[in-house]
Amino acid sequence: MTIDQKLAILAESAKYDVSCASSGTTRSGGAGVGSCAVTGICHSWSADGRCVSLLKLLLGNRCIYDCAYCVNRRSNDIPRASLSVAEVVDLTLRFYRRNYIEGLFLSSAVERSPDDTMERLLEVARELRVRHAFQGYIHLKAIPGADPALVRRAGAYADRLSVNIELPSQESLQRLAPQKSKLGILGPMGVIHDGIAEYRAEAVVHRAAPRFAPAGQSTQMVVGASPENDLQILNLSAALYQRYDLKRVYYSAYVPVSTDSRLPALRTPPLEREHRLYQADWLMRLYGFAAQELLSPETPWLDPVLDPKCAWALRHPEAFPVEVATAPYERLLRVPGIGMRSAQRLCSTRRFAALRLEDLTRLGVVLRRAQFFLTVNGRCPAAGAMTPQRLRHCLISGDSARSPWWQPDLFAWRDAQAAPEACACP
Amino acid sequence: MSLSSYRYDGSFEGLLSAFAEARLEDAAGPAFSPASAAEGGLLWAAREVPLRPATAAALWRDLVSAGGAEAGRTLTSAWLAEESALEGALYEYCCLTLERRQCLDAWAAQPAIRAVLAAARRVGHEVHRFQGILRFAETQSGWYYAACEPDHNIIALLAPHFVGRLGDQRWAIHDRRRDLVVCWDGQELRPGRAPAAPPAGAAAGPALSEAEVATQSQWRRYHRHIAIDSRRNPRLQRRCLPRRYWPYLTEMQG
Ligand code: SF4
Repeated sequence: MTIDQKLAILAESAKYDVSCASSGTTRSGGAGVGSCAVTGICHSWSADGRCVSLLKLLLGNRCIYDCAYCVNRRSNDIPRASLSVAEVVDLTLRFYRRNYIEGLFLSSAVERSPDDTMERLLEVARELRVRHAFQGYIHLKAIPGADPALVRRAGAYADRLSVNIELPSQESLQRLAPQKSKLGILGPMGVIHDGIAEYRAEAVVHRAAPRFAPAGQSTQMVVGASPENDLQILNLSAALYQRYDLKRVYYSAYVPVSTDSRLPALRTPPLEREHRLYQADWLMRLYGFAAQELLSPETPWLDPVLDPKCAWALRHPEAFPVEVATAPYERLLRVPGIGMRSAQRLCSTRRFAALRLEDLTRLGVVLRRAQFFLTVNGRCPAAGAMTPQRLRHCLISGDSARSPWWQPDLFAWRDAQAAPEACACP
Repeated sequence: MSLSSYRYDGSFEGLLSAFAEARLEDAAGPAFSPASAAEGGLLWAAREVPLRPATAAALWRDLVSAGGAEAGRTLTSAWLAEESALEGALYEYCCLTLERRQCLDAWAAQPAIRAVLAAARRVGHEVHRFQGILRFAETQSGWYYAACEPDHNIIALLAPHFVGRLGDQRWAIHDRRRDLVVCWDGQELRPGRAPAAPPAGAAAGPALSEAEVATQSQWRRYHRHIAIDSRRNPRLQRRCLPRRYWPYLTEMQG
């Protein structure tokens, strides 16, 4: 089989992994090739509109496991291939030297055994870093069930490590990925967490401390292949952020790849739901919202037609209006139509001169939405009183007119400077 | 007070010379135009201000001591946006910074500052974008060649990124719209002007190495296979990566 054929097969097999982030580390110079930019850089966009930043590949797709939701499961009839360590290294360097990519995102199906697979992933990273002094970005998958010692060694070479949590509950995992165990997933996650924590503590004392996954840890779960509701998912994410200090949880709308009776019969992936989850996740990580503020056991699903911040604002009339001339940053962030950028600009510009209503749009505030929730020097820009129903209607029509679900303006790359994770293409 | 209009030679230093002149004369709402711009529409004649390197350098030093390196960066970036009629705002930006003796970039409600900042930001965005979408091709001589047509004059800002990243290879970045190049020979960064008339048939750039041809086809193949069919969304793709960039993107050819 030629390398071209392998490349096609293993890109096909890798494409359901969603992370594309290349941010969070700086590396530079030295004898070899490469550097990392702290904000991350997108290099291209594929026909599905997702950004391409890393060469995303599986080392091999001959899986001995049989996870129902996965294209690479053993029982699936697809072409199989494996790349050699040298082939991946060579391809990465050739692409990198032409500025096609920020680096490598290497994962693998479980071939032979978890340890065997993990060892080969490790070998690729070691070759790149040690033999070729490669300073580009490397994201490695930790294989569930692999020896913790191997996972620890991977941390010395990789910028980011991730273990896929796969599904939002243990029951679903048991049903759909019977060979995987909660422990096999959380174990490596814990090892990575500890490695990062030790590295950070040591780096405070001496700067030359050996690095360990300096861009942190992330994970991914499939949404819509199992019955969990949005509240369960957000609670799990919140717990993962807290317990394992993850940089990101990625959500991947289940793409129907199987007619297995254990899976729902979907015609298309639930992209809208995925989008709302990303918005809610964004609010939890960067806007100071708690999962319980966004959803409750009585209303455990995110509103499909209204973004979660507007939905929260409608449920909490007592929190408004917010006076933009004086309100602290955190309160500004809660106003629909004010994002991180505009909140920062409001805070900084009012140090120089008093804010006027006509300044708001120029500072990036989306007045069409924000007008109902704020006052400027005591004056409310919205005319007349509003019933909650009418307000909801106004927000929805504004929402869908300006940003249909496929156009996630929350995630626009322009937020790069403000956001710790530059590209958040869902 | 005088209603004044100044004409400068089109360079950044020339503009600073004109700024210094306007400050000296305490002109109110002065207008500035490059020598290349068509005359006309003006009720009063524009006065030529020659390039005075020492004056320009002195004003630059004052500005940086008042507003810090950040103000200097904002001003140069905004200048590189090459937007016509931005000079007035650049002038006001300088005057305000010198008057208040601090970097005013955070004062986004002030119209001139906002205009300068917005231009600087557009330039910054474009630099960031081209850090991603610039494509190098290995030529038969062993050099890597990258062509682009950026909206703004960014290759001088772009080059240091690639020195840090691809410092062990020799490369040239060619702005085909302005016919400017920067070359890195492994030691030194050299800006220059591209030959005015490129040899016939050079539209596609210099002759490529054998490895280059194979690598390009592999990259195209990879790019095609990484898309998920059931999520196809060409509109989103075009929004993130507007079509005008495609002619220089390896993966969008063929
Ligand atoms: S172990 Fe990974 S590659 Fe193998 S079937 Fe399960 S999810 Fe797919």
